[in-house]
Amino acid sequence: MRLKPNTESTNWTSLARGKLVLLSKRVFISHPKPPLPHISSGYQVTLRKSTIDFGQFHIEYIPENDAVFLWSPTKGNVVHITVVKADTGGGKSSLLLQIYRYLRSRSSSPVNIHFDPDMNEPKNIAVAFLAQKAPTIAHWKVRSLLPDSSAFADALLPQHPVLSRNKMRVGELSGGECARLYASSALEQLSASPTHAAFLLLDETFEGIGEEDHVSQCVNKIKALWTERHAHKHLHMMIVSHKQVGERGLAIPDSLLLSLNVISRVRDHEIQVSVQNT
Amino acid sequence: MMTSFFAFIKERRQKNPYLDVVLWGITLAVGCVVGKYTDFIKDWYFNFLPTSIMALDANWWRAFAFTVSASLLAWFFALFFGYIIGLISAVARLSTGPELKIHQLIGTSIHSLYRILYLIPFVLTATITYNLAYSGEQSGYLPRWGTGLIMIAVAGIALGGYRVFMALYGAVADAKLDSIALSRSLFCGATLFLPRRLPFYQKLRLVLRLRDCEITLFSRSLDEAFHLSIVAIMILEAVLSVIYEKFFPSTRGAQDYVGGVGHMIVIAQQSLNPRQIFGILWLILIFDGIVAALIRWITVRVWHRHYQRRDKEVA
Repeated sequence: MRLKPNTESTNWTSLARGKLVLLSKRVFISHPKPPLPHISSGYQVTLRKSTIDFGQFHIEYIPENDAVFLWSPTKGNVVHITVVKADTGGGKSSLLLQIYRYLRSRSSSPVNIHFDPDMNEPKNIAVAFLAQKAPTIAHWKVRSLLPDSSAFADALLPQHPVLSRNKMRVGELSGGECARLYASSALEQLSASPTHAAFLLLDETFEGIGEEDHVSQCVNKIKALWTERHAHKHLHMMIVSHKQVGERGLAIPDSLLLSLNVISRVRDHEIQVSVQNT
Repeated sequence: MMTSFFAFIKERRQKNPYLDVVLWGITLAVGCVVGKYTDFIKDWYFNFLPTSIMALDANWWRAFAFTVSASLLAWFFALFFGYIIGLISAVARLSTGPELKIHQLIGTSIHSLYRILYLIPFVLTATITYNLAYSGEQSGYLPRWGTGLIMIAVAGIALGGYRVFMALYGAVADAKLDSIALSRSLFCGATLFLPRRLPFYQKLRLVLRLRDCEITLFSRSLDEAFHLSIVAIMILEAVLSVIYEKFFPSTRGAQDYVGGVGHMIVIAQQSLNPRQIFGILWLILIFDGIVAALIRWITVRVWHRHYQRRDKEVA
């Protein structure tokens, strides 16, 4: 059953419609928490294309499964990208942290993630998370964080070739370079792990420096390199960003965008959704 | 000029609260020297000054040599055992999953036991250990010098070793989520001293990275371990004056200095010689300060200079 924005039939319809309007305006309004309606699994709401800047997406509500996000390695894409976009204080980092905790331990958490059956065991997935304020351990040698040759580091740190890079310490890099070094190291670790799928959670790792489309450039480089190296091993990247999303902002093709309203409602446990890139 | 001088003093006082103590000390010193009515204090007061070191005779210096050697040895024991025990319990503490709960339990138990050893008054620990070691020596299981070595090791491990242990264990047990996530996420390559074949390779690497995240805590624990090693050795000397005789049997009962500084202080207290007591205390403080500064210099060279570089550039 597919719901259009203008239809009004049940309480859930009104709720969904309100959510759509809010999404399009990107304004957070704290709703009184209504009782969650009981509806069947697979009920989908189609978002308007103008609301989400990159393609069409479905928000799927599955109350009995208490589900939130669904990364589904389909359509032959090896790299799946989710961009979490919200203003400061929107709860992006908290959401990412909850997802990381869940991915690591699968313990009880307000965030549940549905995996394919073969990924359902924690040992079958590899997770890397770079927090926004990841500590800069200045005395670490760069070569201890990377393999002898690292394509990711070559792409993300082009100003430091291998020879000079291997002699450096982390303290000699700038803040942005350090973040990109960590990202390269995490990608090498994920790439080396013998798992079916890898999750890379980046909390504003590539932001705060460089030009406006810096995030897009980094993500696209990662995507190209991963696809080149792995034909079947899926990389799921979840990127938190406060950058402008649109034609002049982030330009990451095939990415899925979660905006403020969805995040805040997830954070407040008001609603659990699972999001699937169609 | 006076205004700027007082402003300078005020600023320094705000930055360094110990300056007040120094200022009061200077005031007292000037008062004692200049005042004509304080002669009866003056002689007594000079006992406290570093010049009291000059009152130490050859026996004090010999005892000091014993104490210095034992303190350094105790510190090495503290570093080695504190680090090894810290690594083991931290690796065990990192284990996750229901089947590895026993490892976590082992890690937590080691921490609890070590904490108990640290909290028990050291006099008690030393006495009990000596009794055990001495009975081993009497039964022929332990060489004579073994008892002395065990006692010095206990002095190092019980107090100083705990600080090193806690620097490692605490870095894991109380780690920030950002640090854990970063340490887990980054690439783990094999190193010369840490081959991938090690069964605990990943966890060991994670522990070392978490230690690095709290490197200030760890480097501070090294010089704290040294301070505590001196304290423990002097307590040991005061309680068990026969420690060094275990290494040098021919000196048994010959001279008081074989008991070390701790033993000499006990004897000097009985003969009421405060000038010598303060002299040796100043000597110990100077020695402690020099070695602590050396340790700090090494830790700065190894770890902290990479952190300071950026600050200096900004300044």
